[in-house]
Amino acid sequence: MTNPISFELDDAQIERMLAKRAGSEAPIAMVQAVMATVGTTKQQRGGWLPRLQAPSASGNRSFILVAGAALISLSIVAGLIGSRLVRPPTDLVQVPPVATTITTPSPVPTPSPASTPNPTPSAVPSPSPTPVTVVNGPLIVYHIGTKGIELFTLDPVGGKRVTLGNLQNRTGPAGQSIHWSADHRYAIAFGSSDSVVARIDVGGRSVTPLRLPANGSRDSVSPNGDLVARLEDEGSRTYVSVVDLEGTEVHHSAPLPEGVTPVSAIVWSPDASSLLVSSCFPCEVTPPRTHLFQVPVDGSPVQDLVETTSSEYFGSMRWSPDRSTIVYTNGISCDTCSGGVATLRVADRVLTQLTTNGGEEPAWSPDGRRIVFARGFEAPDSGIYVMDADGSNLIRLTTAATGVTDGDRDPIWSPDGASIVFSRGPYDSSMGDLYIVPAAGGEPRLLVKNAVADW
Amino acid sequence: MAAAAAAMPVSTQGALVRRAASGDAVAFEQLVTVRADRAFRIARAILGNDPDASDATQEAFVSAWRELPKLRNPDSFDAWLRRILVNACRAQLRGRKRVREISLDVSHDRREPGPAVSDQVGDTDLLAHAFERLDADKRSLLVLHYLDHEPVATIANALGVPVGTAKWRLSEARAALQRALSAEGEARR
Repeated sequence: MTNPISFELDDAQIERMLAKRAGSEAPIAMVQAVMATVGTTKQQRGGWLPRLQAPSASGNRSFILVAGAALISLSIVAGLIGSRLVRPPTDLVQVPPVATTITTPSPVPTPSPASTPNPTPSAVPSPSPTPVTVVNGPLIVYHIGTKGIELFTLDPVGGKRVTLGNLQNRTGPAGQSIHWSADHRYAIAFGSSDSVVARIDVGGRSVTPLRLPANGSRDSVSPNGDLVARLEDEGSRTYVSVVDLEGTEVHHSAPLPEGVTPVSAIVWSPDASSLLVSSCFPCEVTPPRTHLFQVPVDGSPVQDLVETTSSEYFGSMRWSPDRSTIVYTNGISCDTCSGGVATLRVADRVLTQLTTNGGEEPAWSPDGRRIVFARGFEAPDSGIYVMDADGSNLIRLTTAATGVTDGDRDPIWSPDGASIVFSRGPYDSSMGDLYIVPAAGGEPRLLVKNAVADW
Repeated sequence: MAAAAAAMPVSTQGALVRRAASGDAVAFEQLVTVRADRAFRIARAILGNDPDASDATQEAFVSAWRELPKLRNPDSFDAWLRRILVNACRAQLRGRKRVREISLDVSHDRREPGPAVSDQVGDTDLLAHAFERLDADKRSLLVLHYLDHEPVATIANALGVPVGTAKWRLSEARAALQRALSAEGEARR
């Protein structure tokens, strides 16, 4: 293996290249051609329809049409779907303080696509809560400081830091992040191109740089922190390759359908048996159809979990603690879209829109009863929000700082569900400053500047 | 597109959009005329040649005409049109041979910064070839950001993705261009 020569790329160079590539002006005949076509093209009447459309539980292509960004629950195409609802935006209300003793639902098995190639809806077993007392551990922090990248644990209450090590300094505009393994023995650090760069042994206080080649795909680390999934191409098909931390492939999925171009990060199931991949397919139609595929790691056939005929987007997906539901964002803030935070109940494929005026990076509370999310930049209602898992009892925890370029984002829960850590900073920088705020509301407190963290 | 239309008062634009949405082709022609150059430049930067750029731009305008009655807010016409244009460019690219992004065996993250591009080639030729290696989404992101100078929130709007997603995808696109540039340089050594 030889190191390729590295060319340093600067923004001015990109601007000059693109300006040259763009040319100067449109051909004169182009406008005439457009108007000639317009003269023979009918406009599509019938008014605007909101875009959330849920496939029926039976897997046929009947859909509900969710009418209206309105403030009421919606009428449903009779007989096709049943009782699927889209909730209106909820009013802000105050919620009582959160206790530090929580109930932890017993996990229900993740649906296995390998064993259910043609799944039928089934009831999700009711969890049987078992009261447990949760003690918050420390945050794992990835901080860019004067000594380069510093990795340490941080007690957000007492402020105690335990240094774990450093990484070679290198620059990158965005993408750095860090994640605990499920047992909190290790953490995985990501670099600026969203590739894993190091494994941190917290107990042993050691940092091991990883040698996985970057492949342009966003890596996704398994819940145990020992495997990495990434998208690869094989001919004209895309598949998921699972490699260990040495880069050796240990699983090779079946290929996604021809023509699928994944559009969101891949997400592991809690039991590490499969991954979720979202893609438009076909992409050439307007609006594109969007699918959510469940890709088993063992090579079993890919399962088409959900199809929508709208520009639905499955971003920032996260499984609920009881493994029954996926929360995600379709929070596109454009004139013809009205997305936000939504959920997919996996057993019967029910999509529920929880917010309709934006909402990104949703995360379940440890007890699965609430969801925290960030609401966009440059918006008057920008900030961190918490709501119940059904979209009710929405409260705004923070007001985004100053100016039009700052925002609050990347909210994460404390293990006891009483606090939330988030990042505050310019939206064109991946690394803001870490703050902590009570989940019940209160004044945010600065923890660390220029850092990202997991808890 | 917004910059090209900036000379026209918003209220006038809104009125034109409303008229066009009601089927007034003359009003639509005025909207198209002031936006044609900028739309074409974006398409050409993404696609790299006049015929494809012209096809994508025409397709975008005709789609806009067809869908215009569904636009709720006339003042957001430019953002809406930009989104249609980017989708038309993506479709145009997907119609070509599948673009395979270069994959390198060493992570860029762990390399020390190398010589500046200008030190190696002195012009934008190498970079332009590297750009050709990128897929439609990455090209679109880079064009909207570096040519159109749109903020990330606007790019997110144009691509139809959340702001946070657009941000990391922009980062990913830039990193991919960096890798492709290194690969181009290697190939020419």
